[in-house]
Amino acid sequence: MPARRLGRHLVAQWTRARAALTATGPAVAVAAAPVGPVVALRDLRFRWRPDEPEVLALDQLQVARGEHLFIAGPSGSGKSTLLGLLAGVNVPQQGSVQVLGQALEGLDGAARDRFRARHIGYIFQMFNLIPYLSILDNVLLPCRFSARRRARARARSGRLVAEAHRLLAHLDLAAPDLLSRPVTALSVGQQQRVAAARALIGAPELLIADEPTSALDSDRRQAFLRLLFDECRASGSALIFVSHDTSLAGLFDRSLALGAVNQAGSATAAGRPAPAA
Amino acid sequence: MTPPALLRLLPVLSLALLLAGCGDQPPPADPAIDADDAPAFEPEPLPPLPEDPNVLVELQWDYLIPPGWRPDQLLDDYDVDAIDDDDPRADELMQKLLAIWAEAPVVEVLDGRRVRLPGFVVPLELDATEIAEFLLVPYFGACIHVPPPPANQTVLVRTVADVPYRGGLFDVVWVEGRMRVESFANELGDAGYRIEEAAVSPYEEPL
Amino acid sequence: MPILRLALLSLWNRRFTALLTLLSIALSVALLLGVERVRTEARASFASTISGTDLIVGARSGPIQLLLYAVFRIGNPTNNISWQSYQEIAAQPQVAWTVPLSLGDSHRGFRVLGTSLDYFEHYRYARGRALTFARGQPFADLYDAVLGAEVARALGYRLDDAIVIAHGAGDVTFARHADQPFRVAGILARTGTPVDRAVHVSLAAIEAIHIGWEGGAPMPGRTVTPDQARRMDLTPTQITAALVGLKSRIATFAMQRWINAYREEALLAVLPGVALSELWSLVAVAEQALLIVSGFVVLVGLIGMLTALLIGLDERRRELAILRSVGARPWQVLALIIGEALLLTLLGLLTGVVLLYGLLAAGTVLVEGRFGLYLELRVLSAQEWRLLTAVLAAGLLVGFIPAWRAYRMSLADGLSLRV
Repeated sequence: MPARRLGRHLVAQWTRARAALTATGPAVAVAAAPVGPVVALRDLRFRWRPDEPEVLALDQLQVARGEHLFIAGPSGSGKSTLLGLLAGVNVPQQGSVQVLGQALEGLDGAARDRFRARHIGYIFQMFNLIPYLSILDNVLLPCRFSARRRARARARSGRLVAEAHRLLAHLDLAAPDLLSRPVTALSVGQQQRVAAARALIGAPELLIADEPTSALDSDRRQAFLRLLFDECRASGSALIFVSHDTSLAGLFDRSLALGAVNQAGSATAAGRPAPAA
Repeated sequence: MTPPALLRLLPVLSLALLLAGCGDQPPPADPAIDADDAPAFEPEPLPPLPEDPNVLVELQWDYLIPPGWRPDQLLDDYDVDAIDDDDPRADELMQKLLAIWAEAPVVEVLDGRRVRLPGFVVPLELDATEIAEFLLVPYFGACIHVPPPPANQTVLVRTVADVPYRGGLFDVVWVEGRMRVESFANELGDAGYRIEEAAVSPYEEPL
Repeated sequence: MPILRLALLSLWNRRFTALLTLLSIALSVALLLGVERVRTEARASFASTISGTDLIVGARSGPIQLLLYAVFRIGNPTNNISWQSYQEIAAQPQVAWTVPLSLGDSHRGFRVLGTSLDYFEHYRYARGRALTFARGQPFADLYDAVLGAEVARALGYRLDDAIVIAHGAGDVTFARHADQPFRVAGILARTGTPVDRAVHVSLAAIEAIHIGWEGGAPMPGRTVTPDQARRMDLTPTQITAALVGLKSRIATFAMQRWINAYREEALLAVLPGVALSELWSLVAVAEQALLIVSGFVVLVGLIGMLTALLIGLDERRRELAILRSVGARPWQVLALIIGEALLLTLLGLLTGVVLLYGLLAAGTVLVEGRFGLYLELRVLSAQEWRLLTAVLAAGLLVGFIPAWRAYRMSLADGLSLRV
């Protein structure tokens, strides 16, 4: 079966990539993987409606492969908008959003959705999980929308379900009685970790996290971050972490303040409703 | 209008009623002109039939009446002006006319020909929606004033065995098939015009 | 198909609401199909009652009325026709056979039909099928009776049982012809027509039991014993109606006109096919009305589904954002909602069909007993499939409304958190 051959090929690739990653930290591309930053923004200008003022104005921003970036920004500084652009949900009026060398503004909606399914994992601030799906189904969700991701996940552990279990175990969610519960019976911390597993499955090159720790207690935040970092490093994913809690900035490879680089001013001034904090 | 006067105009009426149904009556005769002196009604000569009986021919109902069959000649025996409704002779006349019409002569040269004929459906054997056997007649309705179509203006149609006609009473249709003709003199159950294994399709006005 | 699976799981999560919606659709579909089924079965049942008869002759009333009482035994005749007229008709050269019918008596709720032996020979039903005897034979003796299949089954009669005929349509004790009992000489095989519900006796027997009843009630001293009756001249003077078969069907119109214009008595001759067609057009309006009402009921069921889907939509905006974040395209969101609507409609259709067959199976004996209407348990007809497809299409259209809303919402919201 071609899938099995592909799987073996990918496993070989991954073994080499993992070796390179764990050895040298922020990874440089190996073997057939392309070289270059994961994210490259240039001359970015964005407004929600033509009659509204600009919400985002960035000259340049780059994220290297496997890099953990912290973006600090209070509510209304345009961080959700930025994340939307990075994920390919929105398109800038001017400038370029390049992810993995692909200019997202040049793609149509369907292509951007496909790209997101393949290469990007997303964690929301809260209510990350679909209530009528089991925990496992929630974790496996991205694999349903991208064949490439499904293949990578399968290649990692042989079976999709096994890969899901593996990730959940790494995130401290191995107990079998836990996994059989409905998602609504989990605590917030557990839910966020399941969301992390979902974002990480299939090893997407870019992980975007929109304030995932805001709903957690302070003592759990550190634990969550540690788990997240470990997994990102293991799969070689770059992490862009957005939060208003600047105390976490020190744990990251790099941090920047959005208010400093964004020349456009606050989002609320643009009349856009502020997202729930 | 008295029945005897109407009877005189029968051949004309049976064609006029194709369009007018039973509603309209012909205008009363001009009293200044004596009906007996009026020129006899001569129908237009019909186009001749093709030689080959397998060539499909589109018939008009006039083809089914042999030329020269003049049932109104019966009326010459009666002084129709003198007879009114209640006169028993009017009844006798009607009975005789019906007897003539029940044994109307047929055009034997139509036997075995592939023909196509339009008309109204009077169902004989029917299911909920399907009609396997029906009588095809040239005009609509069964009014009291006008006798029913004579036997040589009625065609017994049987559809192809498993393909009954889906429709209802007084549908206007084209019937296509091979015509069979049996003279009434034989007194067989099969006397008259028949089309077996007919293909029935809805009638549309020709453009 | 990931979307289909999501739709299924989503519905299962709200299974109580989904079940209610499903039931309402199922009931409305069962109603719609039931109306259509009864309509066609009734027509088929009526149409198959008589075959091969060219004319039905009776006293002058209306063609549908004549058809109804002579053939279907529904309603009552207004008048009788004289034996002389009947003989004259039978003597006409174009007439091949005639069957006299005499109605007016009953036996425990079933009509008694006085007729001749020609009835068993010439009566046809269901496109040319002849009557056959399950047991026994036609009447030979004066007081022989031949029972229809349903009469024998419902009353438990066997050959040689004695039965007493009542005068009129009821079965009141003081109006019975108790002095002249009959013997069951034959039982007919089942036909699925009103023949099954009739008790057949000879014309002479009808005359015999009405000797002394000329005043409308039995005159004491004027009634006779069976032996006396046998010795009397029992030629009938009147009959209710007659079935006529002609040598050539083309002569039908002429014969019909001859009978209608018969001076000696006010008669009416109808073509069974024409009278049936007129009956159809008479009930067609009622049928259409019933069908339209059922259609509306289905619409109500679907609107219930629409409401259920729309109400849930606001709560699902989060879910839509999550789906978008993992790479679902907006049309997939649309497909999810439409998938739920389609699944509900489809399951509703299936349940409705099962419900219909269940009701038919349970009720067929009852309906046949009370109305003489035979509801065949056959597969779905082409028209019924069309109706089901129409309901499915309607469900799809209805599902499009919340689906489109979801589509727009997912586009507008993007990944933003709207709780």
